[in-house]
Amino acid sequence: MITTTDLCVRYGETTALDALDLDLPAGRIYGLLGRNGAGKTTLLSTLAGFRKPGSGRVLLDGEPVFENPRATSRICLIREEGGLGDGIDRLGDILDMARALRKTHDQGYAAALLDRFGLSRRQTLGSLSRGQRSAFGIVVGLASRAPLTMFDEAHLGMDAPGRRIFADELLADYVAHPRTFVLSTHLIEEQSPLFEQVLILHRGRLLLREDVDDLRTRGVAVTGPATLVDDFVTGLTVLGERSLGPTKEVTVYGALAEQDRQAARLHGLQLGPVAVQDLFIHLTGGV
Amino acid sequence: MNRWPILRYLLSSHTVVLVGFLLGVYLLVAVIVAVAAMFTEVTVSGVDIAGQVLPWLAAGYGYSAAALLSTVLTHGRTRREFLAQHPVFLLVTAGLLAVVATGAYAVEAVVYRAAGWTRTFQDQRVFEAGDYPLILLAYVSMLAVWMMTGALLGGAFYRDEGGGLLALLPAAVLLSVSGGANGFLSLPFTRWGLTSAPEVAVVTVVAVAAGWALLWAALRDVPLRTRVAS
Amino acid sequence: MFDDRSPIYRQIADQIKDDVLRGVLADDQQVMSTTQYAAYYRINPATAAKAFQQLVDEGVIYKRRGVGMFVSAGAQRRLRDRRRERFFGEVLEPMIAEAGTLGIPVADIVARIHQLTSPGDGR
Repeated sequence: MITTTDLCVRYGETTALDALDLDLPAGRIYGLLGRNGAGKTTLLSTLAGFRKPGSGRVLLDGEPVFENPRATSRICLIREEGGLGDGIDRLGDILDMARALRKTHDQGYAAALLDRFGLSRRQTLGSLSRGQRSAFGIVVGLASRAPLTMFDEAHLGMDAPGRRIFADELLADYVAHPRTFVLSTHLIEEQSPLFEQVLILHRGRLLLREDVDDLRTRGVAVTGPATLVDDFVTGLTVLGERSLGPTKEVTVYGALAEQDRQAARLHGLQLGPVAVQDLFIHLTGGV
Repeated sequence: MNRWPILRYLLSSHTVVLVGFLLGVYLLVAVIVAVAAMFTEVTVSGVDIAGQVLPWLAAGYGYSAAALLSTVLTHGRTRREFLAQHPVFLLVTAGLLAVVATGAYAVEAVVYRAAGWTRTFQDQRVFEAGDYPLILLAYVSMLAVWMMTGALLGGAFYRDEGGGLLALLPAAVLLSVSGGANGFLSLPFTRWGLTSAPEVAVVTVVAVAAGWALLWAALRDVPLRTRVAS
Repeated sequence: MFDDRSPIYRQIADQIKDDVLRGVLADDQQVMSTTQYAAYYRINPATAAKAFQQLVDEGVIYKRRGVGMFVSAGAQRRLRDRRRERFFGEVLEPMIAEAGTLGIPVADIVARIHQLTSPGDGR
């Protein structure tokens, strides 16, 4: 679907994206994770043609994206802030604009979504709360039916029921009209079941890319007496450690071999799973 | 998809609103003149006085072009499509608005004659009462140049604030040079004495084209802003 | 809904197996589609599909092209046999080991088991 080759973006002295190679096949829901400033928004903006690549390439089905209407008309990026209109614009007018400019936009679906989020065509953008604005962004994004639809922090400021509606509508429409989604989020535990694959961006580079379900088995927490734990984890990829008195917990990355598990049992060490969010925190430098 | 989707969209929405707005302006002028007539003798053209405000409104509207560009990109169009179609929309709209303005002059002429009022225009106008073709041309010229210049300033400030300040210079040149020709911004050093229709038309075309070229330069690869505030 | 630690597809597969084992899903009965599972649990459809693939591989369900997924004939019995095999290894042996650590005589355990099972269904 969309690929990047050696993609770099710089803002003055700061490098936002650093020689990024990415290949996202079509028809999946990708989760884009990363700490603040990791480059998520820059990546999404560049993929959508909102920003010119500093160097390197962004191709949609083999065609350059930037300033290419054949590509951009098949991409929709909804960002956490702006790009839909002014405060005085009515939601109905914004949706009419979307219909006029985007071939794939489905106005009937947009109306149904507005209804589900409790919004009306007559409201103005400026009168909406933070969460309602996010909901309206979701309406525009889903109703675009763009083959590549991306949301940057789609659910910012939305309450739990709103986020649940988003999840339901996303999955239902994804099944009915299969397409590619990229969702960036900080709500890892809540949103990750929606993803097929997770991409973790760290300091402008792709740190990890893995099926969500595999990621759930990637980390192991080893707990026990400090000296025994230290011996056990020698040679393993250690992500982080914490101590409580004589007891130590070390998070290691990667599946353990069966003989390792037996050795752990033999020494009375506990082996526990690591949640995706904890793994994310450890992988991106801990706290 | 239809060809020229941005142009079609703008003509069907923005142009309609702008024409309605201008009709509202002239309605307001009529009310003010009517009220004024109750207290004093009417000696000046109300429609022509409104012509002193319109350039600024046109520039203000033009300024919103960059924000419009960002919404157009959100809906999957490109800068190039926008930069090609938006100026066409501006020209068509300037023409329609000028027709409304010229109509207002004609209606006013009839009303003033019936009421027996005298009707003087602003000093620097290039047209005489009754010369409707030149009235139309002067208004097209003023509206097109001021909207385009507003768009240029908006685009330059959208790109970056320093660039916006820098754009004030060409903007001032565009407005004063064309203003001397169409009579809507007459400065001592820009009284060209160009009053024939072809001369006004040429100056207008050059000014609009220059504004368009600068707008293109400012926005052709501009990154969409990531607003940090809010 | 799911604990956030083991793969979701495995948890779904286990739930369906439990349903088959308890007779909630009978032989040749249609199972909800992956889409319905995905929507119900708010998970990615690919994850649900992976669970179904595992169940197909294990012979618990089978696919009828264009119709859907159905419980394999004899799936309940096979699952029960498999769990019975594992029962002694995974449940009973650790229990007896634990009892040994605590010094509980086997006779006491047997007596308690009789006590727990006799009044109920009179077996």
